[in-house]
Parts: sequence; structure tokens; C-alpha cells
Amino acid sequence: MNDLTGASGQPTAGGANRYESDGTVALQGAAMQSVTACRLRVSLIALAFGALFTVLGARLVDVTLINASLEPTLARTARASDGSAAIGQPHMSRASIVDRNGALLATNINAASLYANPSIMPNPAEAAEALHGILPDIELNRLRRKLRAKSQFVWLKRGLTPRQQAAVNGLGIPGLEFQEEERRIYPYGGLAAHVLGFTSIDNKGIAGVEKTLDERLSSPKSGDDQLSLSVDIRLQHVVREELDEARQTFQAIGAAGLVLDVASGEVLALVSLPDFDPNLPSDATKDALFNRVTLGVYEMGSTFKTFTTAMALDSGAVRMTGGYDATKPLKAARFVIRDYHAKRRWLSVPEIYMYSSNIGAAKMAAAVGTAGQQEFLGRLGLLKKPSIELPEVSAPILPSQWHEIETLTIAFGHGLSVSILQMASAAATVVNGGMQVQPTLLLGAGVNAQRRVLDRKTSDQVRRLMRLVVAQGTGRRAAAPGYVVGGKTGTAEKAKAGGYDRKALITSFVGAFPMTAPRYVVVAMLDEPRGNKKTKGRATASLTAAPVVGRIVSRIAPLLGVAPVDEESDAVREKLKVRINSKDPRVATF
Amino acid sequence: MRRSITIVTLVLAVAAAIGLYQMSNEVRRLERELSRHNDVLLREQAAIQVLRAEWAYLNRPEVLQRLSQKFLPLEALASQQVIASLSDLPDRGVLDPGPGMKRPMRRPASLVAGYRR
Repeated sequence: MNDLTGASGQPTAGGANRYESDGTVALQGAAMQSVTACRLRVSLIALAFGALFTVLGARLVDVTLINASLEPTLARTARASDGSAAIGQPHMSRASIVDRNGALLATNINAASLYANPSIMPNPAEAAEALHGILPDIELNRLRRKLRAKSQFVWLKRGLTPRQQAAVNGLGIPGLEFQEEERRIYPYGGLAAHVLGFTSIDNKGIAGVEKTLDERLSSPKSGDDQLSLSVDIRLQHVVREELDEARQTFQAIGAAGLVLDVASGEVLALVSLPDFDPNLPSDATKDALFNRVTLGVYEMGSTFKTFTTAMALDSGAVRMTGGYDATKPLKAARFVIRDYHAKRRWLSVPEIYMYSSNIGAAKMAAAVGTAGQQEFLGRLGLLKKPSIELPEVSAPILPSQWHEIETLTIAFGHGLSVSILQMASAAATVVNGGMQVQPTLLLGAGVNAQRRVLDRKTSDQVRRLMRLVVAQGTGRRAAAPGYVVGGKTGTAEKAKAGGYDRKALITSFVGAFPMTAPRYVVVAMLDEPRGNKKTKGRATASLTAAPVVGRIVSRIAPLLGVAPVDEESDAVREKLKVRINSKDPRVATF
Repeated sequence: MRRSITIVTLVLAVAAAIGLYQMSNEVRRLERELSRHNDVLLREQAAIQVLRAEWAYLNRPEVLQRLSQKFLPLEALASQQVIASLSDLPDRGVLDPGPGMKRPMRRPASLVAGYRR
């Protein structure tokens, strides 16, 4: 109440103030009230300002100390002068795709599109000629017509290469302008076409991984975001080259190949021929866009005997030393099941597999029964649509009714159509020790499957049988010295209206290596190969598809770091020994 | 006393105003500079992206294969050329274990593999 100085201390009218001895004034009455109100106001204002400054202070601490470590680095905060978004790598609206080693499979680059403003162009005729020198794909007359137009804006060309842009800039002709646009490019062209797919002109994925992972690709997490695929571009090249050569040699209408890691299910190479250039998807034919690995389903023929044998061994219906009588063709309903390489005698299980006996395989399946077969093929994932990061995936075609006769024909690969992808993953399961395989195209997404679907012992036995086929059966041409290839050939006639076409074949080889401890499954398929002089007009899988796998393995094994071994060494022989148990004295134990 | 406080306050206010003006001017200048640098950065990054794509394009396996076939005396690797482990190396007998203790010459597994066929 005291200590009042200055203006507020002046006596106010209407109040009886008391003057104290020390010179201060004690206020009373109305004066007292107004001073109190004034002090209240001042302290309120002080409080408000105090609060504001506290907020400012807190913000200062927040910005300088707390958030300092979270501040993006310079490259990340870089903003174009027009204020467009933040950048690490160039700010691209779609993430790049790389292979497992980081090779750039798909990326966006800024491409300039050229347009003209003819109204300010001093000499359109001269400009047209100069431009034609740089952009020879536009006709000179069209350029002249466009540049003589009375408009202020005409598109000349979308998506120039940087070199063309520099050249056009070098002309220095007023009235030529650029519009920056993003363009998706695939530096490897058609090499991984069926894996990658392609995008529309607006950079929307419309096929392949580009479509399946469109959301992930079109919202890059940060500037240098990229999607790593499990494919290896080098393997992709080897598989494509070998398939293409075989396709030309045998004049096949198509070919397909797949390399799969048996443990993780990662796809290392996926090739379907004919293919297309994803840079120019509009030029691709419908056939070229068709993915024969995942979208095509085929009756695979004898390669299916691998699964039939595994089924019979796994269920305990027969043992390796057991066998069936294959003297006479097997009659069932209105069908007669014959052998292609008929031996007309009792055959042991290794012989049935090695000589690819239809009769033997059918009898094995009969011993297991229809329900057992359905259950087993289901376990291997052959009866439902496989899952992989591609939109072009077909479900298998199951028989409309599945009775005894279907059981018998499916045993040797007829009556059930599956894709190459399904074949490969089922084969991987059979050889990897019996663990379920989930194929994937994403690097690191492959989980070493923990679900056992097959006995370890069965897997070991089938490995020996697959090796036997390559060592001395129909798959001899699939051998790659040092890498212990094993596998099974399959020659199937294509189904057509009312039966099968003897001339139109699907030949395939499902292989794995090294058979001592399989790491990779390699599948090659030729669509309608034709025999030539060298094969004496025959086009069976042992002559067409098996050699492809042999050549692929001998080229990719060094790239995959698979150490070659002496195939004749005791350790390898012991590991893959098969007691053939033949009734024919000429066939010794391998 | 009161007057001096007023004068000091005024001087401070003017100084603060000048300081603030200088500061904001400087900030604006730096911001212009930053945006200029960022523009350069963006152009360079776009150029790098183009170069990365071009690098991939020039390193297509079929191109490398063609060039290698044309200019290098190299062939596809045969399995018998691969030395996968030390035990594959032939024993040259450099370390003589002594008389009467001749070590048997071991055949390297991978060296033999190809010749058998």
C-alpha cells in the first residue's frame, strides 16, 4: 500500500489521502480503488507477456536443442526454388527397383518434353530443318507444318534424351521451350521384363512387380528409397540366353525358365520367352506379354513322377527296393496307359523313375489312392493358386472330377495343369529336405520355411533318384560336370479339342544342384519345340529341355559360389548311391 | 535519472531495430543462397540419376559378354578350373617331411572332375 511513486502517487480528487512523514502517501477511498484496479491490470498484462515469452523460450529450446538431432541433413531439406518437396536423391515420384546386387532395373529420370511457340519464332522453316537434324524420327514436313501454325503452343516431342535436349538448347532458337517430366526407364530392356512389368505414361504400374507393389513404389519413403528384388540380372541373362538359343534351335513358339533358392524360396531368375521391352510396352504383342512361368498352366507330363514317387515313398505305399509289374499296358476305364520306353517286365521304383514308366507311376498312385494323392499334392501346393509378387498368376486347372482314372493319369502328369512356378516350388520342397517353400521376388522376404511337409528320408531318396536320371537316365544331357545335377525330364502332348496333339509338345526339365545338398532348383520349359536334323526329328525333353538346364547350371554355379566337386569321388557316390534292385541282370547297382 | 533511463531505452530500441533489420536481411540473403545451392544440388542429383541409368544401360550383361568375346581371350569358366578350397591344390611336395615319410600325392577333387567325362 505504500511505496507508490510518480504519477500514480499523485493525490486524486475526491479522496482524503494521508501524507506520511517519510513523504509517501497512503491512499484511501476512490483513489485507493483505482490504483488497485490499475495494479491488477498491469499484473495481468505482465502475466500474459510472461506466458508468451515462456512459450517462445520453450520453442527456442525445442528448435535448437531437442530437435537439433532430428534435423534433416542438407541434402534432404533441399528444396527447389519453386518450393517443391524435399529431396535426398532427386525427388522422384516413384521408387527405383534394383536387383539383389543393386543393379538398377527400373528408375525415374527427368526427361524434357519439347514444345514450341511458333508465334515468336523468327524463321520457322530454318528451325524445322535444324530440329529435324536432331530429332530425325519426326518427319520434316510435319515439323514445318507444326512450326508454321498460328498457335502459341505445339508439342514437338515428349521425353527427350538429355543429349537431344542439349542439342536443341544448342540451336538457340527462340520459341523452343522445354517442359520437365518424369519418365520411367528400364536400362536392361527386356532382360527382366516379366518380373518388372511396366508402367503407364502417368507412371502407374500396370503389370509385373510394378503393379503388385504399385503402392509401395509410388510413395517412396525417403529420397533414396529403392525396392530390392531377389532376382540376379546376371543369372537372368544366362537363363534368357540359353533359353533363346534352344528356342531358335528347336523353333519353339515359347520358352520359360526359373531359378529358385530351395531354402528361402527366393526367385533368382524368371524368364518367359518371347518377351518385350518394358520401355516400349505398346510395341509388345499379346504373346510376348504372356508370362509362361506364372500365368501359363500346362500338363507337365513325366516331371510329375517326381511327386508321385515322393508320395508313394512318403506314405509308405512302397519302398525303394519295391516295384510294380509293367509287363502289359494298364487298362483303366476306356483308357490304356502305355510306356514310352516300354521294358515289358517287373520294374523297381528306381527303374520306374529312371525309365519314366507311366504304368509304374500309375500303379504307385493307385497304391496310395485318390484321397492320399489329393492330400499330398495339396501339401506341396500344387492344387491352389501360388502366391508371388506378380499379378499374372494362374490357379492350377484341376480335373472336373477326380476319381481313380484321374488319379492314374495325374500320376504321370496328365489331367492336372500347373504353372512352372508351382512345379519349381514343389520340386524345391521335395529336394530341400521336405520343408515347404514359399516363392518370392523380394530380397530378404524369403523366410526359411519351418513347416515340414515331407519326411527327410523321402527327400533324401528322391534326391538319389533325380541324380540317377541325370547320371544314366533320360536326363544325361542336363549334366554339368562338377555340379552334381539331378532332375527329371517331362515330355507332354498339348491338350486340344477332343484329345492330345502329337505334334505340339511341352518339354520340360526340373533339375536341382548340387544333389549332395541341393541349393537351387532350375526349371526349363520349351513350348512346342520341333525336332531337327541333329535330333533326328525328335523333340523329347531329354534332347530339348535337359541340355538347356545343363548349360545354365554350368554357367550360373560359379556365379552362385557353388564349389565343384569330383562327381566320381567316394563321398559323393556314397551320398547318392541307389540300389536299383532290378530283375534284369544287365542293370547293376549304380 | 528518469531521463537517462529513457535515453538508454531509446538507444537500445534503435540498436535492436537496426540489428534486427541487419539480421533479417542477412537471413534473406542466406536463404536466397541456400535455394540457389539447392537448385544446383537438384540439377546434379537429377544428372547423377541419369548417369546411374546410363551406367546400368552400358553394363548390360549381353554388352559385356559381346565386348569380352571381342577383346578378351577368356572363355566360360569350366568346373575343373575352380579351386574351391586349399585341399584342392595339388601337393607340390615343397615341405619334405623327411626321408621315408613321403606324402602321397593327392588328386584335387575339382581338377579331376572335368577330365573324367
